[in-house]
Amino acid sequence: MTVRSQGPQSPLAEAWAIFRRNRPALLGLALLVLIVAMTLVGPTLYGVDPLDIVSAPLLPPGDADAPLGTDYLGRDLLAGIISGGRASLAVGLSAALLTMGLGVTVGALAGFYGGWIDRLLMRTTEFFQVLPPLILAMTIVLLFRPSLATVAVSIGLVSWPTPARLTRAEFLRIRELDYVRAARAMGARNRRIIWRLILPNAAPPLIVAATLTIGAAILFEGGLSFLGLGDSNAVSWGLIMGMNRPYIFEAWWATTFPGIVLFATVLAVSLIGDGLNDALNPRQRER
Amino acid sequence: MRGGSVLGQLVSACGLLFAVVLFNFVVLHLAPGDVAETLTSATGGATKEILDQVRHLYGLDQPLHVQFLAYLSRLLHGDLGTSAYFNAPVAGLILDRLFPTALLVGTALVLAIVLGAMLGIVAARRPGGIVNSLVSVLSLVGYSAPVFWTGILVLLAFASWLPLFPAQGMVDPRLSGGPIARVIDVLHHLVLPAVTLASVYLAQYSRLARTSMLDALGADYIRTARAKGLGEHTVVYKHALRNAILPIVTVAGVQVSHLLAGAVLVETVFGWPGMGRLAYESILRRDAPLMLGILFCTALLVIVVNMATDLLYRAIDPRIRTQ
Repeated sequence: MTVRSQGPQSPLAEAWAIFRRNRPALLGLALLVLIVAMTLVGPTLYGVDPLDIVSAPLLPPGDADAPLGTDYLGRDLLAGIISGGRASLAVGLSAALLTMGLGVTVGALAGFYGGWIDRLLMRTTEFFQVLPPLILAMTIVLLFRPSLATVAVSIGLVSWPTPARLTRAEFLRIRELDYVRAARAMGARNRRIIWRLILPNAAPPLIVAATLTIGAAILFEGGLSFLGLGDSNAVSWGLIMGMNRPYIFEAWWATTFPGIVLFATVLAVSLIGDGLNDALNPRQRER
Repeated sequence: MRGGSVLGQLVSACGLLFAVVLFNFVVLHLAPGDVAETLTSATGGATKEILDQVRHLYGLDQPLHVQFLAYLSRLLHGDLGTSAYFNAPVAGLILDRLFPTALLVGTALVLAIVLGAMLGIVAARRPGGIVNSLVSVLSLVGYSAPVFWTGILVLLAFASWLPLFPAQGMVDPRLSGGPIARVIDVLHHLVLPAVTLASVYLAQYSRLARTSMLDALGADYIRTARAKGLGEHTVVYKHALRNAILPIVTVAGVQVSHLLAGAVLVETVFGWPGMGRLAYESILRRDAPLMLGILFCTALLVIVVNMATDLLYRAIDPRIRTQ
């Protein structure tokens, strides 16, 4: 940073300056970049079809044909892990987008307008919090045929109450601040107040929440696939673990390795989330 | 649901339950394909007679509102429908699995709260200590580790490499002992799944306990307690702990639905014969009536537990009663 002497920094630059001094967060970022790179270019570089039977079933790691061993059908585990990332990350990311979209919309409307809109929407979030998330998602996927889209939609549908509550709380707080009152007194339209005045100031905690939501959605997708509810045509980390579950004691590697990658991915996202929290909300720093 | 009179809460609980019933009904009818076929798909291609029988039983030729009222009235009579795969009433199937799930979830919850509170307290008292760092790492790992993966690692470690505990199920079918031996056998089976399920929440509760304990220890009444010469032990465990435990009770109450969801994965990994395992089985068989019944029953359970938490909260915190 050479521009530090030239007056105050932009908030973004300041946040990045804090973030990059956070070792765990940088580690998380590096880990995530590595994993994303693996899923994007890995399949072309490694070139083994994850669905091809390459060798004897349940071969331990260290084999010339299959470095990480094979699964119960004799498929290459490394190829499965490399290709499985696409489905896991794609579903996790789109489910998180849906969760945040729904949650922020509901929370913003409830917090800004108050009154009966608020009561109605809060009742709805209460209702969705009563239903156990995984069991609700299982029901939806069972009734509407498993596919990547069904899984993403069902995850979004069960996860939105948390960001909705957060957004509502932020809107309730900010809408009473002086600059918003002033804008209102000057006759600003509601849409402008919501989009241009309140939302940007509610952004820091929402960005942190969005990061955590991505991690939670990836975990959720893993759980659903593990139970056999994912898209059975798309290899994913959870699916590999679920299919090899009956052979845990014969082949520890077939469930452990995909689990490590899943864990590492969510860990990386959590570390980034913690780092963003410190960088964007310096006053709320966790003790 | 917090606050308000007990009666008001009862009314809102009934409203929520009604919403759950309506939701079940709507989802079933929105699902692609014929409702009778969805309900019987677990039999693997039902004959025309069976389909007609189901259509007649559920009154599927009637208008929707009549169907809904009939559905509601069946539920009020404790009739959750018939499982197509097991060919038995759904209510009975679920009731059989209630105790194992309650035992597993209850044990995990108590374990997580007690251990979490203890870790949190120690961490709060020594902010620079090892336990404090441990709580930070634990909460990160507990949040990020998929619970089914943790379960598999626990199985590999303590049922295979160090065969200390049984790997699957709740009872040893070969066991022929008295009631005490049976209880010990169940507890022996309970250890691994309960520890696995608790691990996720232990992480959260220890972090929560640390934060609320730090807040409590900084409060005025603690300074007063110290000033009047009370021993450190009394100050920490009698004065601060009481106030620090409230947020944990609140969060634990709110999270019962998450615990039940986590139980699905843990019961599947450990072959624990609870409602979660039943949900997994109904997915395998594509048994829609059973799955909808489980969704209804778990929601009912969550509502009941939320109300119980609220009453408990009133008992712990006298400020709420006077509001």
